[in-house]
Amino acid sequence: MSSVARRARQMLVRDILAAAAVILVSVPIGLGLNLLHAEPVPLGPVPTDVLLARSVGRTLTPGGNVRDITLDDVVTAQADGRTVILDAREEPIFALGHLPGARNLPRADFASTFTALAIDANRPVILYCSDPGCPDSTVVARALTHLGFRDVAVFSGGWDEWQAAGLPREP
Amino acid sequence: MKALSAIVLAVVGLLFVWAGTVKVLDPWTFLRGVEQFGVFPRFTYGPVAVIVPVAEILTGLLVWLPRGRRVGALLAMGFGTIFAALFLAAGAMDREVACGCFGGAAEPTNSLFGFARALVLVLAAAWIYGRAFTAALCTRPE
Repeated sequence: MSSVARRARQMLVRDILAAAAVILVSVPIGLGLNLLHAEPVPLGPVPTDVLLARSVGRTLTPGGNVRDITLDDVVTAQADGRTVILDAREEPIFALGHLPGARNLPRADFASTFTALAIDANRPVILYCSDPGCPDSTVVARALTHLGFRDVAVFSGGWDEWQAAGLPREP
Repeated sequence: MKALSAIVLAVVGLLFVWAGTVKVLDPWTFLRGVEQFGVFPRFTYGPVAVIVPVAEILTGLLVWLPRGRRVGALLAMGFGTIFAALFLAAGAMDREVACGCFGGAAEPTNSLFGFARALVLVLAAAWIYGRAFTAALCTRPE
């Protein structure tokens, strides 16, 4: 190996080691800066509902508890005119058909849609998605509890159970 | 050529310092971006959101410093390659990620645009590294 090639290799190895050292140095600095932050990010696993709620850019409240309700409960709540019904499915799916009066709050566009909907946190809220195997209604419901909503329920039977019961739909 | 080199150095350094600073100031937005890529294990979100921004700032500063330029450019290439791969993966999964790469993560970044942006960054960093490496190799023994 020529002396130039040897020197080039030594330089490359040194550069790679120095780059690794920079990453290592970033660890204590990053951890320190995080501690100084008003709302430090947790260094362990972060629940999806907390991330979703945090994306709105508000200070979070403790929450996470949601009730599971039945089809009958949804029909009753729909009649009271006070309960807000939210569909957590994606917008194109929502557009194909949803519960009468339901508004769309998909997990994927949570922050912008939540802000646009401007829902009163004091009103009862029911979330649903496709079927019991769909996690989005629960995740969105929990996110709402972190944003100050106190009465949040999930209709886990979802759109499939509503349709199977032959109940009215929109459109 | 000197003017072009100065511009590339300034832009690449500025991009990294800016990107790192906005993430240090708002780690939650970046953390949400890390989550949206859907390729990192859940327990890494926090550490990635806390450590990467600092490494980005150091990368930008090193690119500006003549003595640290090669290391800064090497790190910039590494980061750029990782970002490109992430956007490629997001595109393959048909995802549009609001990555918070440069702050303001309300709007998702088109995966193809994100990939192209990262690729330009890799090429610019490679150019900086190549020039600095060749200059060091030709002018002084290490």
